[in-house]
Amino acid sequence: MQAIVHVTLSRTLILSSIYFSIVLMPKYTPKSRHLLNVLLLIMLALQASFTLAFEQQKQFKPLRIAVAANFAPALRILLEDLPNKEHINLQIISAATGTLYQQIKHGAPFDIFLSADAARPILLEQEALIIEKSRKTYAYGQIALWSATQKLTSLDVLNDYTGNLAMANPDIAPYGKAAKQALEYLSLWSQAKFQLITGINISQTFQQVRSQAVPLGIVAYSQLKMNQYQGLLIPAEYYQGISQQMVIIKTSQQLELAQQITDFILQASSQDKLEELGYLAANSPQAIRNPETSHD
Amino acid sequence: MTEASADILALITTLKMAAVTTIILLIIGTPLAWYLAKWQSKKKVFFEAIVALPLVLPPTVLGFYLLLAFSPTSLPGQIWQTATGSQLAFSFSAIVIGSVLYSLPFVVQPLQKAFEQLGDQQLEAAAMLGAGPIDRFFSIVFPLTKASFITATALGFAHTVGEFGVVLMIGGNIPGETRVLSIALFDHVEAFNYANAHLLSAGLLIASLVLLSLVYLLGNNYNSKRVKAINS
Repeated sequence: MQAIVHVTLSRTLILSSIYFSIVLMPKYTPKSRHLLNVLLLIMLALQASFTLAFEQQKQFKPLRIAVAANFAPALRILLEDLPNKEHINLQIISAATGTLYQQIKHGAPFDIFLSADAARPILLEQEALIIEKSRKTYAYGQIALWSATQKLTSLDVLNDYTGNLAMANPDIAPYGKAAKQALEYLSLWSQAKFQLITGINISQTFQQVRSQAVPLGIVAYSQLKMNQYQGLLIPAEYYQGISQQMVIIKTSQQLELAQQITDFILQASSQDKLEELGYLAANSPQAIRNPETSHD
Repeated sequence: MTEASADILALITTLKMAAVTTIILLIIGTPLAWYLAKWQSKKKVFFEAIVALPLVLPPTVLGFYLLLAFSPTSLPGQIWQTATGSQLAFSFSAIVIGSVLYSLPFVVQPLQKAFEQLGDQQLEAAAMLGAGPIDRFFSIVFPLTKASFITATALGFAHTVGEFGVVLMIGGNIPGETRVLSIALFDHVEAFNYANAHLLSAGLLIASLVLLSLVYLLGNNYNSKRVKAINS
């Protein structure tokens, strides 16, 4: 892999020198030739710095954790306490769960995948792309009602609310599905007087409410916790648990290390920390009382 | 690795991707633009439409099809794997190929317009004097259309630097390999890391502005020289 990078780099350099010399060199003033030399110097400097940056990285073979974008900040906080972490080259790759799923399906070189839902890990398991029995729930997501303009005291505020309400799209985002279930539980879904503004994911919804573009929204409780905002936690029994699962990818060449990291995420101290960050622990009584049904 | 050095790595990857892409685009875009400009057939519009397609297609759609094509289970992906010994999807080569397709119209269209406006007289005169096709290109076509080459280079480079959707799909956001600035920026915003995001976008904005100004300065200098030469 590195050899290829170096070959591409030298090719870049050779090609660019040829390009500049034939295209710009002949019959131009010394001034433009000077500019040309500067350009070539910049290219050389870039090449050198790139190689350097690459050298720094390659001491340890990287272990790549693909993580759903909304869990990435929490994961970073958790991994700060990982024992021995200076001897592990961890690369955290975050994107939408759906994007990561597609990439893993097409051979992305990831070792661990932390999904924002249970559906995609189950699909990967059915497609035999993961290490057997590695699929585990690492946390349950919680939802909260939040406004950036007013302090909320009770969910009753929804009863005669007539403005816009932001939530994630219930058809594609797990947090949106939970928000819909909570509104159904409160018998507000079918006869709501408010207008729904649906975001493509929970981050978009959070930004809509945070920017005060939408006065009220249902967001992830972890987003509020992590950004120190006060919201109204929606009780866990109003919706089916948002099970977030992780898997170890079959193509991983560092199974032992991957196993060590997934164990670390599930150990009691990490799970306690996740509760502080607005999630429910994987073995929490609330979540177990209210089992996930995202298998459908 | 600290956040700052990760961002610098992303910056270097971006510049490298844009530079390689622009050079490849000039090498394949020039002959393509030439044939499109000189081709006298009704079938031409079809090929022009193909070149313009990336302007219409949402980048994530293009990215998704490329992901399917580059996957180790598909034919193009397999051919690449046997030829080079490494996987195509999620590699630096993959994002370069994606960018070449995505920025193609930005290089081909200005060149095609310039070639279309070029008269045949000088080229015929040069041919009569015994200049071969390559010689004719570098001594006549290129000097006359240099302003368009500068525009094409600037557009191709700038458009590749700002690319997001295609690289997001086929790159896989791997540090030092396929994590480019636009994706690092997106990550910071997603993680509510607004300080880093502001820093990065300000840097990107200023760097692009300086770069584009430089390129246009070069073009203007050249044009005013040409006007002077014609007047004298």
